[in-house]
Amino acid sequence: MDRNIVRIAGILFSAFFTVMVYLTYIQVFQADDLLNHPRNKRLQFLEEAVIRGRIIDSRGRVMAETVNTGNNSQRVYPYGEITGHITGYVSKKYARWGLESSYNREMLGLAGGLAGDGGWAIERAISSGQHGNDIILSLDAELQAKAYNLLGDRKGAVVAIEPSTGRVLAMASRPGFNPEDIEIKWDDLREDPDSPLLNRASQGLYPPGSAMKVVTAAGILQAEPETINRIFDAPGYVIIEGRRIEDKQAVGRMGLREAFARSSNYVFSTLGLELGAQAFLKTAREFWMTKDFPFDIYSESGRIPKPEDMSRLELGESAIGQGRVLVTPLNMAMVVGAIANGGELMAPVLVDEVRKPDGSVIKTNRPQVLGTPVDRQLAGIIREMMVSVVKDGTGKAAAIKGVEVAGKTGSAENPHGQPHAWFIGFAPADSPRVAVAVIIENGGAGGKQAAPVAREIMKSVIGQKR
Amino acid sequence: MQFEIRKNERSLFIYIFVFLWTGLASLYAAEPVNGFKLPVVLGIFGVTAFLVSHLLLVKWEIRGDMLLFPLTSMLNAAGLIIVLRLSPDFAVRQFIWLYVGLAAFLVTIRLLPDYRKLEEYKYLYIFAGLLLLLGTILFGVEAGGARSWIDLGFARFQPSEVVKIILVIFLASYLAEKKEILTQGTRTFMSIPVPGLQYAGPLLVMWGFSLVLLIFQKDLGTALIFFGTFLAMIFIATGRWSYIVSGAGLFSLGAVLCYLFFSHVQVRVATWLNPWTDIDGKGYQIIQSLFAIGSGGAYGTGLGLGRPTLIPAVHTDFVFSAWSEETGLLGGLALLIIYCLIIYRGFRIALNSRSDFGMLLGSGLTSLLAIQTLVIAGGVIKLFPLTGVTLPFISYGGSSLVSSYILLGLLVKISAGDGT
Repeated sequence: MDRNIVRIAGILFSAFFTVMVYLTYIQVFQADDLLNHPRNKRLQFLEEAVIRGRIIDSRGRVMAETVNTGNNSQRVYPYGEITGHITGYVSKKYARWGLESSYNREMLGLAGGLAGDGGWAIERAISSGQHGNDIILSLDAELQAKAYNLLGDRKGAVVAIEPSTGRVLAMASRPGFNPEDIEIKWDDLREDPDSPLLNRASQGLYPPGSAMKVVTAAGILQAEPETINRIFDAPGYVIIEGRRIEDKQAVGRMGLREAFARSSNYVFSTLGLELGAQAFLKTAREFWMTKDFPFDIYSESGRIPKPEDMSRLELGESAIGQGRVLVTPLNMAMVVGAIANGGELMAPVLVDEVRKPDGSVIKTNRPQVLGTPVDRQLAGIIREMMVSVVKDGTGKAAAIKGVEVAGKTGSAENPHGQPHAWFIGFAPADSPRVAVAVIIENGGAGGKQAAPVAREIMKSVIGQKR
Repeated sequence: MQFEIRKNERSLFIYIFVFLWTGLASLYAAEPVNGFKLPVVLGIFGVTAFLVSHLLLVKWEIRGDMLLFPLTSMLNAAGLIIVLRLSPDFAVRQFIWLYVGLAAFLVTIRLLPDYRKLEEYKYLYIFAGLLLLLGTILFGVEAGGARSWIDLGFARFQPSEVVKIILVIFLASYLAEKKEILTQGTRTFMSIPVPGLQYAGPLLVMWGFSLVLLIFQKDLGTALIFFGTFLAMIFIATGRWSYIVSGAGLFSLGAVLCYLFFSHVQVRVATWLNPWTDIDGKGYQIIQSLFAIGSGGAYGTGLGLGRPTLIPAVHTDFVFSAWSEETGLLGGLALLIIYCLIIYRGFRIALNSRSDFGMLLGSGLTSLLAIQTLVIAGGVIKLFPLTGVTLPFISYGGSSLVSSYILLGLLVKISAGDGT
């Protein structure tokens, strides 16, 4: 009977051990998620006691701060709808969104040191009215305002990044919304057919149109480097599986560079078919177009059908950015950023630092390489091709006096009317300081509508002192 | 008075008193508005209760185990602190129950001449147990989803808490007598052992017993504890895995049947598997519990500084969650380790006992305590489906505390051996 008692004791002690392990799992590994769960009322109590930290742009301009008005505290957004999609909102009724959500913990002072774990309640008890941490963005609020205003009444988005680091300098989306109005205008904003709550820059999915040819070119030149010297005879249309795609802007004999500069659909859909669905998708994946990447606010990842689901027609269309290919402006900014950065694709970041109220830095986001979709030499070749687009191709409207600009236009056919106008590019071409992606919904030709917006953005970044 | 005996116990109590007073002081520091009178009065009453009980054990020259009482007192002190933190009204009542519980503990030790005498009245126990259960089914009132309470007018009483102990005593005496028959008595059919009726009989009776509890009282947790303890004891008596396997099979069968026929069982299972789909409804309790535990993190918020009162029924079923929020993982693990030490001592006492009855009674009571602790501690962290049972020595509740102290008294009595 002794042995039986020992066995039962063994079973019971193992069960206790399991409970201990699981308790550890909850209190150590799940603690963050549980404390920050939107339905955990503890956060609301805490928010009432803590003065939420500020959101500050790269030049020290305040984009969001909490102001005391008598007994009430109010969250103020000086840039309003210009930065609405970036700051997001915070509301008792509708919870949090944007940076207000993703950096909630930091701005409430729950990150860093003892206060990040158990100590918060003790500090709360000792001194209410404590300040949370500030977050410092890579974003330049004035550049953001410029981008927002350049879009005018048109629906669309502008993304500008620093190619060598992936730091987002501007990310505008129109129509916007003012986060201060979120509680009074919630229903209107939700039901507005123009979806002002959607951050078109990181969540809007669009066909890339001819801007996709940068990716197709990268794929074909990686597989067949000799293609750069090939001569094509473009008839002015493409026929795949009986479907005719018009191609009036580029007719006659031309090399790859010229085909790129004049945005020949014939050449690039033909090359896409030669490349094959597998390799085409692989290239797109290497540019992280269809993969989730880490980002400080919510972002959608692009969509390309699986190779086995792609017919020849669809592959030919996908190679020129049509068919079922959908990407976000941020995706395209990353693609062009990688070309600008000599082939190295940097992870996009919006938040540079988290600072304590006393100014000391508690967290720094360092540049992070996501991958190298093309090597330095190939990046150089594509850059040259993109330079000729702006010099004497479809993207002349992006040219800046005295600065060499690289770019690619796109006009994406879509079921909602006029084509979407795209421009992606960077400048200066030899030592890029800024890479941009611009989309204007139903704007028509990319060269006419999107390129001038991109030019103004690139110009003001280059004009700035470092 | 023989001050030489139980010296170790006395020195351990110093730590418990320091712990109790530190806890009370922390609560005062966290919410000074509640005043210091109540914590001070309760602190004095608490220390007096434990000290007097200890001195009485010394006076009566009880030579039993000296670790068990300090260990359970530690748990009880933690319970008093957390109940005071959650609800001062309940805390006053809990201190009264502490006195009743300690009285029951002392009475068990003092008035029971020789625990082995218990063996002689086994059929009286089963009769008393059934009577209590029947009474609950007929006259019971429902509280917290389970109909397991009898209203005595001045206080509510949960018979199943006492029935658990009565049942262990019955099983210990029954198994001590029938051990041989149960171990032999198998025929084989095509070389597969087939149990005889005497083998299956008690198993089926206990199975029925648990099912009755489950069906008529909707008390899933207590049914689980009954049946689990029974399986542990029958295994200890016979050493046959087949009992455990077929018992677990029968229980699963019963559980499946209940799942199919009773909506409250379906709800329990569904909220265990995924409470997040119904945060405001059926999943509310368990999710509030998880929020509390998770928000506590590794070091806890500090006593009195968390928000455990967001959990419904926090002072009975969810004290462990409240404790884990405010004292963190470290506090939660500390409690579990104390339980493990108690259980270790319990099994040691069983192993040292010279009679079959003593071994079975000691290990049965220990298993009962262990399984009950596991069911509720595992339940509030969503490791097992949540069933509303109390955490021994800690949860608010008179029946639970008193019966836990009777259990402790019996264990000390067994360890004292020859019935001093």
